[in-house]
Amino acid sequence: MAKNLLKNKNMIIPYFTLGDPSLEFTEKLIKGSFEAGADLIEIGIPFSDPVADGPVIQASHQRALAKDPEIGIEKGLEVVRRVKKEHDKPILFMVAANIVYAYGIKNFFKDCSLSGLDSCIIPDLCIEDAEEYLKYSKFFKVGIVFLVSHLTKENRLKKIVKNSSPFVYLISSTGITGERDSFANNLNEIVNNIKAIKDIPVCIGFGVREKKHVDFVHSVGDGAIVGSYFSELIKEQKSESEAISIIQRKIKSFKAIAIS
Amino acid sequence: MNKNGHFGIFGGRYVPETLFSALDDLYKTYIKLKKTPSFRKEFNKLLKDYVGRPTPLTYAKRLSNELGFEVYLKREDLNHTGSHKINNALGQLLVAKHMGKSRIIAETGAGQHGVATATACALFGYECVIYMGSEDVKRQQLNVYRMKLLGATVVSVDAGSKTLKEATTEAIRDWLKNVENTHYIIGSVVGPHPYPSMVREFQSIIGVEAKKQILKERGRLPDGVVACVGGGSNAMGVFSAFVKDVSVKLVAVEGSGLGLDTSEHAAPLSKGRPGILHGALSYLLYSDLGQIELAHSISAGLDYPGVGPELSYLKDEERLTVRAATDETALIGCKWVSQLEGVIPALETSHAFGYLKETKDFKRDDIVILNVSGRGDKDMSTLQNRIELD
Repeated sequence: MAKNLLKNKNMIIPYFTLGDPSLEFTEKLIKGSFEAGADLIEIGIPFSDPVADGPVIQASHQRALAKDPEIGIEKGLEVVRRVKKEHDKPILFMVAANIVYAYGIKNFFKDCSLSGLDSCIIPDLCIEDAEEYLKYSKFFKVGIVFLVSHLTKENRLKKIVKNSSPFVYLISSTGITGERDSFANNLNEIVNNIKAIKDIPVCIGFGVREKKHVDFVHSVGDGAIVGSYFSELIKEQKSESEAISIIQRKIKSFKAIAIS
Repeated sequence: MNKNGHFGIFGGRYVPETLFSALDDLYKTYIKLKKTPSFRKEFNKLLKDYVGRPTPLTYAKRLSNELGFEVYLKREDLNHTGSHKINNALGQLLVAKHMGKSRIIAETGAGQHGVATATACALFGYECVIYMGSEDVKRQQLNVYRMKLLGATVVSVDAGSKTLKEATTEAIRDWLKNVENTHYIIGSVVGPHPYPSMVREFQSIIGVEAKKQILKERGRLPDGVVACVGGGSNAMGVFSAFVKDVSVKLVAVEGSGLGLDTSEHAAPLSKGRPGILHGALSYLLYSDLGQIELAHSISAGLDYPGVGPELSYLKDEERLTVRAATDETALIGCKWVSQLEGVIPALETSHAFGYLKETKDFKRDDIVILNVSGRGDKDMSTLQNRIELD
């Protein structure tokens, strides 16, 4: 599991859908993003019914599934193993509860551990239903990142934060992933509440796409998660190499602004 | 059921964190309200004066003669709006009112839940948005017009199978965005806790009445209670009063589409396995890799890959007799009961009739209650295309 994350500030965490448009591309994109300075990478395992995702990520999942209906955890872990040979930075899966359930909860954490995956986000798994997942997560030392929203009540926040590893994912505002007009106005307060429970990085996602968003997120928390925007950019490019280089440029500019 | 909404391994709250507080508030409000005499009085008065309850239990004489056992029809088709869905829509609207929500959303398959919700919203002056798959918009045009006439906005969902699954996903996405002012009226005993138990309780009036009626009429419990199952709200509604009466066979009839041995069916209890979709763990149709499979049924209301968690639990407890009827069997059942009893059932309910016509589950002189969950007016265009009449 990623141990040194606590020291990182102003992290950039790109999200990429596995296999959109191909596994080879995803692998190159991850390696290229790490080289450009990405601190951590989230790999989305395509799902037929991604409830929390907006139209951009949903379309990305559908493209990946149309290309390869057999895409899933196994193929994702192959990519993880290959990337890990070259980069010792943390990689997470974003994976729907049913995909983990179908794979077998114990097998999932065991195989993730063997492949070097650091953690996973299961966006439709609430802490109340997570007992078995947490048991194997702890045993096999593959973390679970839990989500927190500005609507999460204090009595639950403690349990969520204590069990989240290696960071807490703060949802910027209500709604699905992708573009939105504004972020919740009390993010600062929530970050403080989380840090009061445990000294853990807080990364913020949902609708983070422009430099000003990244700067704001970095002023409030420790990392910015960028998904839908990168997915749009990749789709707009004419070639795979152009797609990788524009993502690299964006990561560098997001990082640079964060430092200045 | 435990406090986190589990029926054995089934149920739970598999939702994005943003919705959790809303579910928690909903549960707490509902638990408080259902013990409040004024709320129960208000709900019961609506059911009596607006919906027209109690619905009759009709003895189906000609059907019984042909079958050799005695069939009673629980007439939910006679409710205002034409199906059992109104019971739950009104109940949830009252809860939403008490929670101070100003906007209502719902998903609908056949359109009966959409019509019931739009009706409740018109009655109480609420903004109403109904999500419906574009395929269902096409095959249930009459109900789309009814919803609009009642003042609701109908959003056609053009993704995936373009049916109830996608409509539900879009409704959840709307709720994720507008959770602070919106209540989501789920139409069946599916979704995250507390929906499965709350919807069942609002529908339990069906079974409570039916039990009282059959005891009065025949002086004994029935040998069987039959209901069609999509998500399972009419089934749980009528079954719940009889679950503890173990002598009563509870028959859940799923839609087996083109056949259980094909991939074109909507029968998760018969052919699915436990899985997670739309907020709950239940029997579900999905691939080895966890991708949700598309269901198929001629009836929009059964066309869903999942089923309620409590029905999943009752199946595992062997309390449920799970059966299925194909599209073709349902059509035969529809014509059969129309011409023998003068009751044109909804295509969903027609599956239960089709099953009844073929079954050997009952013996001579058994008493069987079949829940007529809705009337068939909405299905005329499908029926015109499929049943040729001289």
